[in-house]
Amino acid sequence: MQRSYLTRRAFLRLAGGLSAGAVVVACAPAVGPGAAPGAAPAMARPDLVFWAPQHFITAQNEFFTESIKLAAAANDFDVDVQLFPWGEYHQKQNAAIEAGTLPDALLGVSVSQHYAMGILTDVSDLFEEIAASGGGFFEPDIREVTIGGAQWAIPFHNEPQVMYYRTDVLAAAGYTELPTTLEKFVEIADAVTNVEQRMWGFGNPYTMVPDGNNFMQLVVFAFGGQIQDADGNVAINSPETIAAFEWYASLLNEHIMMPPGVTGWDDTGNNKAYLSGQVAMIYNSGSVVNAMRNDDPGWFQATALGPLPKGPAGRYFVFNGGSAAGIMASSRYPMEARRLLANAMSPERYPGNLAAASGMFFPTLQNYTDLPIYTEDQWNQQILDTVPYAYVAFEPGDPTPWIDEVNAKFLFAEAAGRVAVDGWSAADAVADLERQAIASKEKFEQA
Amino acid sequence: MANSSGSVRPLPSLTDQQPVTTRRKRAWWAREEVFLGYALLLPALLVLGLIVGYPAVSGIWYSFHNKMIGFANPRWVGLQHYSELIQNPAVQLSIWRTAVFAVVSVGIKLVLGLGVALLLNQNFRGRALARGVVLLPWSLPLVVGVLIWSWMYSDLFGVFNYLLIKAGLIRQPLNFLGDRDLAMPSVILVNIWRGFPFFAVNLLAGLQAIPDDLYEAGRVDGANRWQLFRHITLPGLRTVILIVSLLSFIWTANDFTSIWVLTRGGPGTATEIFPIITYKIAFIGLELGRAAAIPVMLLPFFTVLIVLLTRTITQREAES
Repeated sequence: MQRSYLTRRAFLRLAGGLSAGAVVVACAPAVGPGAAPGAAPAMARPDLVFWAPQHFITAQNEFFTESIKLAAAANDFDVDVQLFPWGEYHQKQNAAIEAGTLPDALLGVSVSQHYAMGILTDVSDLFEEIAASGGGFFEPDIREVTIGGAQWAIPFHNEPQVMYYRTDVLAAAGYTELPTTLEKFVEIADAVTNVEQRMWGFGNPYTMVPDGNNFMQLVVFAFGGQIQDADGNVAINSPETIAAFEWYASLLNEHIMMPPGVTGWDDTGNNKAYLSGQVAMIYNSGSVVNAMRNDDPGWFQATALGPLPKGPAGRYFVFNGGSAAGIMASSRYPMEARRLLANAMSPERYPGNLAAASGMFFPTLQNYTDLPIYTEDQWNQQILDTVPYAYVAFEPGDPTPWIDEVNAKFLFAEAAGRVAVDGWSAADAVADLERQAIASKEKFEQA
Repeated sequence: MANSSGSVRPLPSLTDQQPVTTRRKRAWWAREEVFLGYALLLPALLVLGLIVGYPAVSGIWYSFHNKMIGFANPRWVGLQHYSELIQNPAVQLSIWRTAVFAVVSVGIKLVLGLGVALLLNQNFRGRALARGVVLLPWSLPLVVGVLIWSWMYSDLFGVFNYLLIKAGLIRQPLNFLGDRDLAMPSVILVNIWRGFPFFAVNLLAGLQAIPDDLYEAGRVDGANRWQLFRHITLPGLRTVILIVSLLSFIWTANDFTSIWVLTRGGPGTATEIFPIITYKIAFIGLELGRAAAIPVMLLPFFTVLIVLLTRTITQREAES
């Protein structure tokens, strides 16, 4: 019998030894130049990561990415720009915060929450530098990023969300003027609603999505309600807020001026409804105007824009969406990250970014309101004209993380659904909303 | 051979001879192949411990702490999260909805999958093509498939409403995803569409493993089609049915993506099953500890299912 030199036992022993060796090698600490943990490589070329939201308009995404990359190239370092869809961006950030995998800089910070977590760096100096080059930031934008007298983020863009009106439909019903009050708005919406013809007066998601939440909150402000008082106490539960919820529910259930599907719409439901000619009025950002520019459904010219009509509070309101950029405290290259933001908002690059956004973005800096993109375009100008009516959710108090959470959870939209869909009384829904807000506030105070 | 006393000592016989040890005695662990076997398993155990064990233990640890995303120093709260969640109507409802969602969905998928498997097991022209087509829902990327369904459900443009209106069955569009009564059936339908090919393919494989002799014998004994199905097909498929049903139940109960894309748990909380409420508490409410307590609370139930599944698979292997 021929002798085997590699017995089963020897093979097993060899394999076991190799496996154990591999485990030991894998567990050994990395050794090499610049591998000291926690220390920036002494001579290595800085390599930054920048996160930003991905917007509808490709040209804007590309222009912004180019601005960041140009800044890196001009300052002799590398940057990886990563764009994420807005819908899951907040959750993506939270996962990264917990995992300790945040980028160096991030566009789209939740200023008060991230400040409370201690992940932002003070960028007051950069804020001043950019403000000086752009004629100063608008007041609501300053308030959004200022905590304790310092700035913790740079306001990058405003994205006012406004009312859209089909003037041809309104005119056919005998209304040649846009409504200036909520009463008139309801009257017009009732008049133009024709269910048989599949035309509704107004359409907005009655679901827990941004448009659903923002519009409800806007109505609360229009009725004189608020989220917190000047001392930072939760102040949602008030007769004004309850009246606002009752009014909004009546649009769906009493006036029947909204398509029944609004209770299941996603955030683009109102866009689609307007673009398909099934609603005469919606509430949205400039995205619908942009869609009509590229593919006019036939009523682009008949579209007019404006703020939310006046309610009992006696003033116009506009929800001022947008974004602000922050530099992470964990960044090893905070100075390089500052150069990225400075370049993106420089007089050389920022106007181009606004132009690339084609009416979706509006400036946070006062020098750029007279760009041709606004002055030569009636719709962009109409949106820009609403900027003075912008409100911040935390007024009359200071930015606070629990209000960020109330909005991130779409609690106003949830309460609206409870009243209009689940049959809760407005008083009960508002009381529950306030209870959740208080719980959120206490949670952050104890954290 | 003479010794010093002059007597002759006899040579030991071969049978009396003690074994001659030519090598040094080895330690017990070196002799035992069992140890070596475990050593070989070690890398796999380490990988499993890292990617399965660590997250699971972390989840359990978080569930006993008041841990918020972005805030350091989690505070020990013991069973507080559990007692709160057990009494929380929203969580109770989400677990009830999960049960409804999974049981109804798996039940229908089983019946549909079995029917399709029986059809595909017949000889007919284009059978190979039909088998491929049946797999389409399973092979489509999940989000793509679900988005297509959300468009089909749309009250404004959806093909379902269009056809129902054209057929004169309804006058106004149905609000499939926005109506409390329709939302759950609508998301269940999407889950069935997505999941029935898994049942069909596995049951088809099970059907092909049943010997034709049994059917021949049944026919000789005068059994009709139903009797053949009842007494040969079903018993032959019993183990496969159990395995695919258990697996599908676990997957369905944990189905986050399709519901998130379709309704995000809405309208209100009508389709908020436990993965959705867990996600909302963790990543929107930032309460990692409280969120972790929900799946941990359900862990015993799923452990029983997994043990049952493993036993069934082991039995099947032993049978075959």
